[in-house]
Amino acid sequence: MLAVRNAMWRRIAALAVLTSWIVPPAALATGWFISLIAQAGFWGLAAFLVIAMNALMSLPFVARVLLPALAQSAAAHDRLCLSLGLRGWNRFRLVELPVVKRALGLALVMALILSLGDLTAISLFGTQDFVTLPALIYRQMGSYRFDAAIGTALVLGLIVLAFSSLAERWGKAA
Amino acid sequence: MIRLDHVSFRYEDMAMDFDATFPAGSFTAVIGPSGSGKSTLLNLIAGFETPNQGRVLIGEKDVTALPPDQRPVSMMFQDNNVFAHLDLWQNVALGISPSLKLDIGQRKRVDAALSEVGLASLTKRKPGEVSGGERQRVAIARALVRDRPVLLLDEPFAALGPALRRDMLDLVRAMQQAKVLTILMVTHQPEDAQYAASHTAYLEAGRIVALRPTRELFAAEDLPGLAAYLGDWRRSPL
Repeated sequence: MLAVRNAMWRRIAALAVLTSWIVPPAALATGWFISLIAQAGFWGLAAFLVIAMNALMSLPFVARVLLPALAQSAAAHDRLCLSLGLRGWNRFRLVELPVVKRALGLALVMALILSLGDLTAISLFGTQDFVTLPALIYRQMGSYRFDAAIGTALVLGLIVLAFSSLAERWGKAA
Repeated sequence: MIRLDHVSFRYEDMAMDFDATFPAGSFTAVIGPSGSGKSTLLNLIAGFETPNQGRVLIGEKDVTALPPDQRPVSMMFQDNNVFAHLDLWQNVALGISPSLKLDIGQRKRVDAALSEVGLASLTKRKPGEVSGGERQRVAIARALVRDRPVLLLDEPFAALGPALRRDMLDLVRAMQQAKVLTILMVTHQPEDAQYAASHTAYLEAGRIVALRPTRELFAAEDLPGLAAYLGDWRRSPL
């Protein structure tokens, strides 16, 4: 019974990861772009689409980091959790989260760096008024405004530093 | 009382059949070669495995379809009895409430259980900071606060030395006498069975071959498999 359910979850997780491998985010974004461009309010959705796309892109890497940690925790604690009635939110809060906290921090940093380096989503969905910082740097350099680009790069660097040290501290606190 | 009513269970290509009654308040040791189904027997009673056929009754109640936490059962495993990132107090408190929200009376019960097993001064430690024996004491304290009529022990003391094992068995027996528990204990140590168990079940190839008073079982001459399992042990005087 235990083994069956574990295997099922592993299959679902693996499938989700596989999907994001075989459907390239760029193709996915183009699809969204084509199917949504005609809709009213599309440009208001752009920010969410960029976020969703970057999240999908990060999924395989995040899964690589998180799944082994979760699988290990499940193998060690499944029977104890079952016998104590630890499930759902309680189990996540008291058992899984503390175990995968460090891995989660690492996964967050990886997803952050990946998303920052990504220009696919924004080049499709970006407008004059809606850009990401890396795209803005490109745009500024493209128009030879190097001082502005340097400034933007500095802001970007500081944000990355802040987020990654936050994630690092959070992982350490576990 | 625990009753296995023609329970059959298939694990890969091994078929197991259990049909037995363990009276209320009995302490039964479960012995037998590796792969004979000792842990499966406990898992069927605890609800980690569901029989393909037959019923599991605890008291007069059919628990065959109930999940482990809704059965009147506490279980101690060989390892992973505690959560490494929770302190000892929290580990025991989980026996009362899976959300760790306890009222004053429940908190007092956790404190009492911890001092009963001799851990009163270590409540704020993490399991990694105490010895293996102390970690198993945490599991005993948790079984105390859970206060369920059936206690299943799946070799929880196997990694401990002889003196410490005795201490643990004393704790378990004290608990059994105070609360009238029905206990099943898987063990590979015949002397543990002789020390603590009123009855002993001998398993072979997925069947309970014999369930007798401990003294009788270890003296039995009609069980060739048991003689082979015990090897030289029986001839060396204790």
